[in-house]
Amino acid sequence: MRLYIAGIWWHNTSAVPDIFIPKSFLFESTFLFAVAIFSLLSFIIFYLMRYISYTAKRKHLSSIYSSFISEIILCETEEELMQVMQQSYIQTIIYKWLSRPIGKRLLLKNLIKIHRNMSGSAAGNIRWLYMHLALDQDSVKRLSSPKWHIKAKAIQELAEMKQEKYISKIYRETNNKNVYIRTEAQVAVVKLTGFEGLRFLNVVSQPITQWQQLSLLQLLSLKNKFQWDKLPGWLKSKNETVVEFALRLVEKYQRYEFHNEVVYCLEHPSALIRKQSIYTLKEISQPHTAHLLEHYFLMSEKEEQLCILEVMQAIGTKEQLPFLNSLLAMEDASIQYRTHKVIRQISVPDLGYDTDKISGEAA
Amino acid sequence: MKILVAEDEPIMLKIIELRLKKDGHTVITTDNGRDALEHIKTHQPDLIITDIMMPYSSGLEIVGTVKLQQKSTPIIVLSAMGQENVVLEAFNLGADDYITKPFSPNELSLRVKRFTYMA
Amino acid sequence: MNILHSIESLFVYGIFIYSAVLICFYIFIAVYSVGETRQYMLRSSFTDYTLLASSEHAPSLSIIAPAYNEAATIIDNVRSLLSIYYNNFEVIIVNDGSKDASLQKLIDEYDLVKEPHYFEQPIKTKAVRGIYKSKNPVYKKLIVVDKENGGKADALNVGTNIATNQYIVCIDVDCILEQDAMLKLAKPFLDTDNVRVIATGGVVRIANSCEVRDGKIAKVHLPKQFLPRMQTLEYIRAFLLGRMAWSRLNGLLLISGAFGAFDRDIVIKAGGYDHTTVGEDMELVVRMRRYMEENKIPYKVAYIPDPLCWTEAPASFKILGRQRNRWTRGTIETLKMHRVMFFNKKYGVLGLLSYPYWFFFELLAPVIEFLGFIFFILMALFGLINWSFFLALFAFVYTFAVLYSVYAILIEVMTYNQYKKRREIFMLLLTAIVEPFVFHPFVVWSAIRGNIDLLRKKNAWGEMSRQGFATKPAA
Repeated sequence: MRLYIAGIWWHNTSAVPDIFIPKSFLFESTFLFAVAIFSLLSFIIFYLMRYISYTAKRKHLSSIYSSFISEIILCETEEELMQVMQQSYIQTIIYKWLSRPIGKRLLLKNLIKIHRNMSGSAAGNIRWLYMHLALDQDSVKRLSSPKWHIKAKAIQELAEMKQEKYISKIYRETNNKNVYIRTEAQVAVVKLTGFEGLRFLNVVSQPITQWQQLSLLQLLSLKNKFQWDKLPGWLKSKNETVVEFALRLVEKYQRYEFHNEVVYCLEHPSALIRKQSIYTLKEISQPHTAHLLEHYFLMSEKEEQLCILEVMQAIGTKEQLPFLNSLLAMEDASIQYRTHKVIRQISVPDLGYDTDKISGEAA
Repeated sequence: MKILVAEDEPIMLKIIELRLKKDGHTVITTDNGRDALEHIKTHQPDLIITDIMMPYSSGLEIVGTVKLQQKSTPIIVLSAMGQENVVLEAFNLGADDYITKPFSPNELSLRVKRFTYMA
Repeated sequence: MNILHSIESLFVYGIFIYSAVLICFYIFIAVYSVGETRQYMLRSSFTDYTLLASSEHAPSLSIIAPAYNEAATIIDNVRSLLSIYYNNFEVIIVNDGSKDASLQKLIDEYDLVKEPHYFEQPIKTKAVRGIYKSKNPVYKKLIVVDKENGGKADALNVGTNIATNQYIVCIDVDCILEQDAMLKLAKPFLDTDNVRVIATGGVVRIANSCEVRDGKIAKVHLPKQFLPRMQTLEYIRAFLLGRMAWSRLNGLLLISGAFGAFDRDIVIKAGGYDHTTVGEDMELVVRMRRYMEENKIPYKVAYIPDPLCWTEAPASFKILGRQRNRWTRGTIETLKMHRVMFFNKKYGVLGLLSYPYWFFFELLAPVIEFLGFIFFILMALFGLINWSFFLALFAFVYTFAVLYSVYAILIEVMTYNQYKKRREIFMLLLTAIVEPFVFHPFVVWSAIRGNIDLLRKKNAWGEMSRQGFATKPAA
């Protein structure tokens, strides 16, 4: 950064510039800056000192929490859990550390992190501890905080710990204007109620970011009870991101029955949705899908044409060869290149899958 | 049985260690891939449990390296990555079992037991 | 006499306004960046980045690292790239006609064999001699490309052509990355609904004196040597304050060549890296943005402040001088190529704010400063200086400069706090106090040399070697 414009200023000094910069102004500002430097300095030192003691505490806590949590996780009965809790070092944790914000926050953070990685009774034990220490009360209190990050974190905690009784409170936030609150709330309802939680898609008017779509898909893969009756509605939603997400659901779960609805989306005004529909069709392709894409190819833009070729590689058959050969006359180099690739793929019948992907993996 | 556990999250490492010790195994732990490879050389464990995302060398590299040296040491991969391609890759490289996080320590213990019978 | 006088006062007023605007910019940047940084830190605190490693829908990345005569460290660097936390990625090492054993070392270590190659070439490049892949399935994510020497930009273009993934990540092969670098770098591409994120820039930090083990930063230390320490402070200021503020305005013009991710599609549509300029990293971002503006597609250039990429900074005046000389030429060339955007409201923030800022305060600043200094010396020789006023002015500017640096240190301490020891923080403060006298004049002088070299059309390329450290912190 070229901050030091001193040189520029030096030059001024000849022209008696007192007219527009009184000397007193300079002196006063210099003094002010100097005071600011010293106060920032003292603050830095103060902050560092606090930070050093904070890290020392955190290190200490991390190590005792680690034994605490692992002991709890490996318990097999409730009596065993109660027994573990009676140990003196755990009693010290409860009386000395959990009354302080730093101790509580750190424990919560660790519980959430570990719970994410655990299933079965181990996860149950963490939830038991969460309730036993009344940490849920703490989360609920923060749920009504006006600060977005506190609220979002509280939602995250309650959902991770499967606190179903707060579902209606959380559900209300799924269309919150703040993207982080609404993201956490949407994840939470799906975590708590699975596919049914997706009913927020019926009403949500705020966009669902790509990241959010990924999180939801990831969560849904753990659930298995689906109701697909709402899906056609989502595919026609005014909220474009809802349409996109619905297409991804069809793709992921290969719902062949929505083939027609997806084809309908090929003509959606949004390019993103058109593209996603092409990819979705790949997963639910039917004998006439490739032919349909041929027809669609000529009226779409280049980016979609490239997608179609990519999908053709997976679903195309010898029947597509006349069409593909006709594409070779097109001038665009990348279309030609990809068309060649598809033709090669289709003409070698014993490789009925994507050679690109497999060549690396097969070795 | 002597088991090497490689996992970069300290609490997870501790949980796995305690669970396996409860079953009477000897457990060596490490939080990174480089030390894991070293331990394998020096300690010759009977079984390896490894995470995938670890500093220095990934768990897949450990699987590949161990199996390439014609070692019959069984390896269980324990990872948050559940994508088909990763699981397939792990098995292709020679992993003997694959557990996706979130996982249950009790299940892990039973899977380990299977290899005890084989050994 | 009268005319002379009015010319002089016009000049003086001009300089005064210039300086006042510059100071206002600094104050604005300092204040405006903080909100964004805070927001980012809070958001990160409850984001589970592992989603990107475990989701099947995570964006696919092609990491491209051009290498020229890097035999000494290449094995470690590639190993560290391969162990990065991500699933859907490939690593493309482009050997830019190295004269040393770089390629042979890679072939030996990773069991590489030449593969028949057949790939698209949307960007024109020098000839590719061969593409190598490993026989060992452990390293199936590695692709090594051997090509004729053509400079860094050309190497990156080859990498872009070969890349099969949605996003390309361009890095210097000698950079040291944090394990989670890709998870964080890829996230901004997903944080969007209808605005296309065309690039994400990351922070570059200085690795001198840090403890490095097996291609990873084991412990962070403040550089012990003088010049790297100066640059540490400079980088903190630029990356934590400048870039952050510009990214909040969506006016970022530069992503470090050492560490940035780009939408491959847009890179190709914009024409790839330009190998005729020495500032190819900045030029590409500007061209991509121009492409988006001209096609009226809503877009964003994102930036993440986490310290994810570490690089060795030049420790000698000679190399530092050459680096700054090159940056200056790169900036001038880029701005000249895209001068149509200058105060052009068709280009929005880009034309009305970013470009003019770079023109006036990055490109012109050293020139004005240098001329001012010469003028000052002349005045002093002729005894025309009002010394008391000069001293007051000097104290004002100097304290402001130190204050700005101290403020940057404060933000660093409160956010990433890489230098935890009190002694190191004191050293940084000392650096802030000395910098204006020692380091800054040298930087200005190097910039002037760059201007002169450019005027002479002496492009100082010689052999088209890649000169490393294409990391520009200025913003």
